[in-house]
Amino acid sequence: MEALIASSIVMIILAITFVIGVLAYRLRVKALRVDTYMVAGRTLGFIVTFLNMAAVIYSGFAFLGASGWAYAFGAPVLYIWIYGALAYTFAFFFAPRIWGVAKGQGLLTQADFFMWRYGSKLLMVLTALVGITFNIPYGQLQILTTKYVLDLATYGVLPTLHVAVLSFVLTMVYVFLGGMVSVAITNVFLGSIMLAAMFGGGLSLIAYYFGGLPGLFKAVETVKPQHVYLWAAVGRNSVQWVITAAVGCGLGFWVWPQLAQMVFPARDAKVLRRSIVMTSWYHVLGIIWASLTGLVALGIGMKLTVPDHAFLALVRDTFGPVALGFIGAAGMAAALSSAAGIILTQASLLSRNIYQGWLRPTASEREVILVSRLGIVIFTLVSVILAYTAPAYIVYLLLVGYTGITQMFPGWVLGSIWRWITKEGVLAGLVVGLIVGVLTCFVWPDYLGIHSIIWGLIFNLPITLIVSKLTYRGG
Amino acid sequence: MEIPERKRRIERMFMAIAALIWVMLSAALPLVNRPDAHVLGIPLLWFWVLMWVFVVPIVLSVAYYLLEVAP
Repeated sequence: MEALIASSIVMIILAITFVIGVLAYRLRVKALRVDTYMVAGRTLGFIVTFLNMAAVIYSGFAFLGASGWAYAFGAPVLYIWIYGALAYTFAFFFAPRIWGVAKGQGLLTQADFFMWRYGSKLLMVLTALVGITFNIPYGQLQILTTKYVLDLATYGVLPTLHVAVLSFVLTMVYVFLGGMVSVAITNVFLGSIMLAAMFGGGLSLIAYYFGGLPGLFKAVETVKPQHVYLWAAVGRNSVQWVITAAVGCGLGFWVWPQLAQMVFPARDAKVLRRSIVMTSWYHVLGIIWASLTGLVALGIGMKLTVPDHAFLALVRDTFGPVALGFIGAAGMAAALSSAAGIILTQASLLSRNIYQGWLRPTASEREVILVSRLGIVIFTLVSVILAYTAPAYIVYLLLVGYTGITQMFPGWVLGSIWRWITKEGVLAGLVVGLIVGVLTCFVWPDYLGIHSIIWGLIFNLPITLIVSKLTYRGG
Repeated sequence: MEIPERKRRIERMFMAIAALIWVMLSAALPLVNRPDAHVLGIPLLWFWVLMWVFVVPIVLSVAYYLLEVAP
């Protein structure tokens, strides 16, 4: 009975999401153009821009992984709180600038910016490939997160991997039909559920067991005193790791191509700026309380074999199947909303930059949309196959993902500020940064306790600047 | 389009505040990573991060408002 109640709530919310996605396409998309499909024709108002951005940013990892981190490691989870905060202070100034360029030049993807700014097809294709490749494991990860949610929310009575794949495919149906319009409008619904679940669920669990934060930390200090501070000289529990991970991820946050594509659909710069302010509120009201549930599980002595189950297991044991169904649906919403943004972005990079930008410059608007839709089918299939086969090497791509993407920071951010940054500088920095990033990910993992993102940037930034200075010819 | 001087000054002021937030949430962490120190019953490290992370939306809200009302 409990399984039936919780599963039904999850399935009802999935069905509502699907209906909203398809209706958005039927009612809002009058004529399908490339800019409508990729950036909703730059017509989105404040609420839609804000919740669309939040729903894509906060994925299944934010929802379940953060509480799992708090449960397993304690204080290192603070890096997640910090990098979000740093990223919003940065975006408040940076995003309106990049939006203005995109609007003025008709840019639809991040790789479009590289083409426009540096006039280099090579750089455009390279950044599109980096964006597509490093996002591949994230699509698969969202399916697996949905599976984790369903494992608990259905009390193990359903074949959860099949159901997770089915919900992923249903999501991709409306992405296929309506592109950004469907993604954005469903994300208003999904983003609202996620916020209610993270804030309401987190706060009520802390209040229920400990009456507030002092009680929670007192309990954690009794059970695992080393969880409340950073005790190690090197590694994940060291101060330098948390600092470098937070700063690195804070810098890399808006370099992810799907986030660039969530910035472009805003109606104007004012709407965008207001949305970023509200997303920073979303951060403090959402992820902080969700991650603290990991400490709640620790404080009450809950024994978990999978730390990422902390939030949902607590809700199940404390509030019963109705709450579990709702929180589980929110966890699934977090995973599917991010997946929608990721797959649409990958498809856009494929059609706009690799197909139209490189292989077939004379491609018509209709052809580009067709290739985008084909891309959605391809990337959906890739994610599904990877979810079933879960090959070990995909984990490596996941580990190096943030490090690899952040190496586009100089070209994306500095190139939008300084005129003298050149394509030669960006290319040289990007290649060296990627090599150093991979080495400090796998050969000397986080050498000296410093995150590989920062190692990559330590080499990337000076090379970009020096080579740019040497190759800049004015004009 | 030319950004009016007043807006530019507000933006610069808030960029400086944002830089301060970056320093407080990164370089200052070694100073507050003390297991023995507590504020309002919360370990100092967690209190520090929580406080600055909550400062961010407040600062951004004020910056947004001031930029909007500036002529």
